[in-house]
Amino acid sequence: MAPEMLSGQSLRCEYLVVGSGAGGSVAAALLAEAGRDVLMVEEGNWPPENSNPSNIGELTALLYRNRGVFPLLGSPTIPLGEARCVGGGTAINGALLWRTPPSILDEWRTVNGLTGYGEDSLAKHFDTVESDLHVTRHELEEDANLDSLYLFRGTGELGWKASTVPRAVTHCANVSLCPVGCPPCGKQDTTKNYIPRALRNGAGLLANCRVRKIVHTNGVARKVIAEVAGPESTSAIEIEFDHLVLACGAIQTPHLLRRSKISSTAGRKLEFHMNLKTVALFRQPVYAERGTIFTVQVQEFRRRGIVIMPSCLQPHYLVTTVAHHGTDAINHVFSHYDHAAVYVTMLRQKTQGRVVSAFGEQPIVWQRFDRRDMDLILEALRRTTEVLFASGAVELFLPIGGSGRITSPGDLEEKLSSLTPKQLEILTVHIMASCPMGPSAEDSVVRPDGRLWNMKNVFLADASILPSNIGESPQGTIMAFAHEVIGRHLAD
Amino acid sequence: MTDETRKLAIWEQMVGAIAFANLDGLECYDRSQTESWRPALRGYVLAALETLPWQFRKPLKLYSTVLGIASIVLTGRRPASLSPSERMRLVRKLRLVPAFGTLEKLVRAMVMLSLFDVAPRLHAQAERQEVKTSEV
Repeated sequence: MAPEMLSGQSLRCEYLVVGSGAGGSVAAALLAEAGRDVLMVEEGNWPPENSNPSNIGELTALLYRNRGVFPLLGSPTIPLGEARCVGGGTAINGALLWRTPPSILDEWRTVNGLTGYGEDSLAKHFDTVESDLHVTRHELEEDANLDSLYLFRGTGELGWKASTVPRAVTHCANVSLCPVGCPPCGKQDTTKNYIPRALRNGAGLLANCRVRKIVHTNGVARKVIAEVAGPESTSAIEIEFDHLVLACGAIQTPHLLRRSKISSTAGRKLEFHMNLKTVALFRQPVYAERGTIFTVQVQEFRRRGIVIMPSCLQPHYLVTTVAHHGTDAINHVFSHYDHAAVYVTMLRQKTQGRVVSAFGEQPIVWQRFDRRDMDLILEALRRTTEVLFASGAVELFLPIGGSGRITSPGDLEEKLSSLTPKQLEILTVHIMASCPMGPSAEDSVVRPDGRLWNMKNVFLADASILPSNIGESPQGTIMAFAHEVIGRHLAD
Repeated sequence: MTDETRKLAIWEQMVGAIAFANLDGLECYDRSQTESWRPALRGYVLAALETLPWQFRKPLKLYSTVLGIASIVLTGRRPASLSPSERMRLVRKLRLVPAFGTLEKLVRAMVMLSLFDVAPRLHAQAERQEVKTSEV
């Protein structure tokens, strides 16, 4: 329907689900399958069909918020890649589907006091999700993903623990395009499973619809005021509902709650993972473009909050990753393109941020670098360097601004001796824990059943409700939590 | 400086100068038609900046305008009319200015992201145009 036809209209549904990513799509599918009247709204558009997958700049503009530019302000400023499309983060991620590490679930029980979300309670949800999304362990290949194979062999040399990864992919064309939706592949983003399931069971989906405000009285949310964007105009609409499920992601969900004057504690704390990207040049060809993302994970230091994985290789990503080393470095790396691979070291760090909603329609996120994280970062860089040299790399370009190449661990120590946070080239793609779930209203935003403490009919079902960052890709955890939240609600 | 470039606001010229300074010297793409691609690349970056929320966009424009004026003071010329070597020297100096690194990182990411899309597409379009013309 054209937006102008919706202008001024008032829609009504039993359940309004805001967001169509890992949490919202699961919630919508489960509610629709239980016979409820469901409407999903999504701020972004459907991922384009028949687009040229190699138009990475164009697809980034279509699938990401602000064309991929969302800075977490601070020192250093950390760029965030946040999805804004039907399918949410699942459309642009690497399709990793990990179960929540047991140590994290223990931490949530003992530190955060969250009960009912233990390994056993969530196991059935993970079984369901893994079956729904056709999750399989990626197998090591000899003719593709050589960056993974070399990394795996390197960890073997060092006697470290590494693992192939569980991915929600039915078939992989090994074209290294996960971050732009990977049209040629069978990546199981939510447009392939939960959203069609919801639609088949009578749910509706309104794309390009941004919810601006929730109207509420006496602890009950009544309706939302939203706008639907068309090619040339934007129309305001109102949607009334009995129940509201918010799953707009860990920045937009607290922003909406704050703007609607529902919760002042939402977004006061926000956690994320830091990603450090390293470019490695190998003696032998890697042809990393013939592969995909995150197929192997170095897990030796997972308990300490460090995992290392191969990333995508495309000219765009390579040049962006190495650009802070200067033009000569870019030219050097490109002249060895077939020998180059990009690796990501992901950290579960202490640095936190907060969502600021006082300045207009879009939120601002501030983060304050926690100096205690420097030790973790230094260890991560040392371990990354160690394993990549053991894997056969001969030159590394680390995420340290202008540091140039290093050819031995000795070079690294020289660079690290004077390293300051400002020099670090950090980015993030995982934001969470901005409206944490917990047993008391004093130190959490939602109850253990997913409802806001101060609203009878508002549920949260996205990464915001996780009590803390988890040190792993959170898609599986979000989906398992969404199953639990909606399952408890339907059982009531 | 072309007519089109002359019409650009000072902040747009400054952003263009940063973008081109990051392109100058790169050998990793087909540079046979570099000059014709450059306006498109700059256009992509400017369009991307225009889509940012105002909280980012307005300070960024203001900051770029201040840098553009500083560029005129430092070099005596508008940012768009600098030669590649002057542009590079200017950007090197500006790297000492607080927050310039963040702006440069942003602009550079946009340029690099579009470099391998916009440029080949324009090249293909130009080739198609040539074929049509020769057929006529």
